[in-house]
Amino acid sequence: MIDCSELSGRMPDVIAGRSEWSAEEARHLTECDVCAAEWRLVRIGSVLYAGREVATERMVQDVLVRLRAGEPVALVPRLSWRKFAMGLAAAASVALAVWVPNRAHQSAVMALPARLGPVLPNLSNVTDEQLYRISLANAGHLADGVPGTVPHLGGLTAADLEQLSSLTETR
Amino acid sequence: MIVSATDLPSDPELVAAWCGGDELAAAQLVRRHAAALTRYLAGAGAASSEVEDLVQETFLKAFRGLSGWRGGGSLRGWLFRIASNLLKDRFRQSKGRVFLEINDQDLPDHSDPAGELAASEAEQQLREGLSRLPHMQREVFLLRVQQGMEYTDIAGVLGTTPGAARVHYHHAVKRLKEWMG
Ligand SMILES: [Zn+2]
Repeated sequence: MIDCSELSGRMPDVIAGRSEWSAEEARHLTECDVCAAEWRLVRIGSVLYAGREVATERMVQDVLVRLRAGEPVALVPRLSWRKFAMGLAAAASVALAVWVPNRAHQSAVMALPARLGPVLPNLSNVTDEQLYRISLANAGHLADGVPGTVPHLGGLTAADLEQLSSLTETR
Repeated sequence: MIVSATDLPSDPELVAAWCGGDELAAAQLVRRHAAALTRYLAGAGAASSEVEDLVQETFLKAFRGLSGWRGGGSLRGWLFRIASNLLKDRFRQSKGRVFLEINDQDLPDHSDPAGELAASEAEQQLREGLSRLPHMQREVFLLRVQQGMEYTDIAGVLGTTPGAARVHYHHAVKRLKEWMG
């Protein structure tokens, strides 16, 4: 008498070569609909992504280069230039919005984000060239529009940083 | 010259060599485990464009922290554990979105065109089904079926018990069977 649940538990082991079917069990797998469906599922699962190509030698080289360079393990995906530029542009606008050095410069500084307003919401549609220009322009505003010190992250509050990180989130 | 499997250095031997500064040993470990990690991460829902990066990160993290591997469990299991945690971090950063992608070029290459078509459709169906499972069920299923691991090792990878892994597996199979009709 074949126990279907016993067969079910052994299916991955048979695939892995740790067990094998007796003739009676093999026949059962063709006659019992429940076991046949599960056996099919397990066989498909065992070859899942088997056809995926892996550039092993390139990966070996990349890993060795990064090991030699002592590169820290990234906790976030490495950014492409495009993502970096988008982040930089967004960060610049937030820095302008939250950094108010004193009353004398407040009105001038607070006006800048409004000027950037029409541009920033559409960042996903702009070209790399446009992004580059935006980031340069924003860097220019930071340096030229406000005399004295340039805002830096150390001067932001926790709430500012939270806002900054949510705006620079790339996904 | 034919080299038999028994002539090849074991994982613990390669790890010891790498810890002694032998880069070739690290290269050998990458060659040995990269494909399995790639398949696992792809099945677990990593974006197609991120799989290779995640595999590299897994090796970097492993090679820099080999003192954390006691040699008690398999090195591959430890690599899967690192990969699984890195993937979880990515999901967290992307607010839980699963990046399961259906990509024809990932499908197995079969010589029988009719069989290949049927296998492709079934595999695509399974990928979709997997993307709908809770992550523990998905990962247990992959480690058990795709990677052929035993429940004790799966429990070590996913930080759970063998009994719980077994339950996750049975839930996964039940739901996938229903999904695949
Ligand atoms: Zn049965």
